[in-house]
Amino acid sequence: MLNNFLAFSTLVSIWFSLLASLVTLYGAIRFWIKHSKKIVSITPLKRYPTITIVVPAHNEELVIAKTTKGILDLNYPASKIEVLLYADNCQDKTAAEMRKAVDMPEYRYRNVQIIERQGSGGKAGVLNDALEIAQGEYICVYDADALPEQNALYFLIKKVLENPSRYMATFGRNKTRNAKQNFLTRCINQEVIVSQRIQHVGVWNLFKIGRIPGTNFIINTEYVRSIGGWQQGALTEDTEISFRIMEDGYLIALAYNSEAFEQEPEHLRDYYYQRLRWAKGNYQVVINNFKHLFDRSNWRVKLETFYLTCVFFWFNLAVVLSDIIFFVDLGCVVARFFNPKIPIIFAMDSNLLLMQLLLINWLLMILLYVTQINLALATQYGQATSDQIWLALGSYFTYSQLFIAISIQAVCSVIGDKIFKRDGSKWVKTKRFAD
Amino acid sequence: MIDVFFMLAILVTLIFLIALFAMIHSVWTIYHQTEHTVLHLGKHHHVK
Repeated sequence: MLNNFLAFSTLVSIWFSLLASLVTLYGAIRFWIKHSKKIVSITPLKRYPTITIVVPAHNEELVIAKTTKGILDLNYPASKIEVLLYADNCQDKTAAEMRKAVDMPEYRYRNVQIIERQGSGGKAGVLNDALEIAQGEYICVYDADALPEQNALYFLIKKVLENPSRYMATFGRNKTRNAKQNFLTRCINQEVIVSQRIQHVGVWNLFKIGRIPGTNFIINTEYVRSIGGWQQGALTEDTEISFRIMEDGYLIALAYNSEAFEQEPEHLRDYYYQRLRWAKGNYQVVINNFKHLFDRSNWRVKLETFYLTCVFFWFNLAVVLSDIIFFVDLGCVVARFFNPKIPIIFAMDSNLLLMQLLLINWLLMILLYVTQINLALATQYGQATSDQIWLALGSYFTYSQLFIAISIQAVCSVIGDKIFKRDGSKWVKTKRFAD
Repeated sequence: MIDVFFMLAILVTLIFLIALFAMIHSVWTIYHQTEHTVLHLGKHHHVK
């Protein structure tokens, strides 16, 4: 009886998560049916606000020169841009590479400061330092490996100017710069496209909810000053500030045309630690904001907290349980070859018709997973190829299963940090590659 | 309990089936619209 209940409730939980994701998918499809035929043109903006572009870089000698040039080549009036390049506690030639790029003749008269920083606080610390000296009306952040497309800033500003009193920040998207490197980067590329073209777009289109990513976004300088800057010590400082913006009744708007090219981990170890940090950060965000489900917070904050709670606690637990059930039953089936009297533990009353139906249901879930990836790929020219279909199918059984291990370790780590009062905000830097 | 669960399984399977067909149709539409738009602008126009 208990076995049946466990199996049923696990399956119902997974169904619920899929049905919830179909809602987001619906929002994304509506958006893309309309916008994929829209011809966008670069027309002059009604005004060009001053922008401070901040680039926090910690030992980024391999990629920083290209990023610096990309930023200085942005299609935006040079007189309206102030660039603050931070070489944060660097032991390599990051600052020298920055100087080499900035000293090029074409950038001679640009307003650029290179700051060699020795302070603490990681990325949030850099952003807070920049906040003190920023002259721009908006602060724009690019990670050291994020090479912006020429019109990236233009689209961010264009979006914010649609409703500057309501849109306190706007964010674009990140494309994978090294997508074709290996199987891992190909899978990451698919995941990035799905999260940005389906998840971000769907949630924005349906609920006007946005979440600031780590890079390629702008935020109102005065607003950040008014809330006391970025929270230091948080693993995902961007999520914290996103919650704060929504809590204050403002919006984080999606500028879907704004694109930056970001480098993704090429080795499993780098990928694992990057995602572990993200997962831990998200668990911390859920724990810190759980109270909003029961207080008088903004409904967007409640919805976002509910969503994150479901994904990171309920659905993850359901997926882990379903995997345990699968492997226990598989073990029983194998053991029955040697001793036919061994029962199958989670047999669901041995109802053959139900088993067949659930098999069809499972196959449909896999097809939905593959189709969702291909839907996201179809929104980006050149991505929807037949190879990607097979890759999506392969990633279901390999790449996507990795997240189970990551989430289990993240939960254990967050609980351990609480019990043993450890500093859980230690930042493991993602390794970069020359390209 | 099994009966209720069985009915629920049929309902969810039907929803998934409908969602799948709707999605395949959408992939087709969006793919062709995107291709048409980008080719209209030129592949290197960077404003899609």
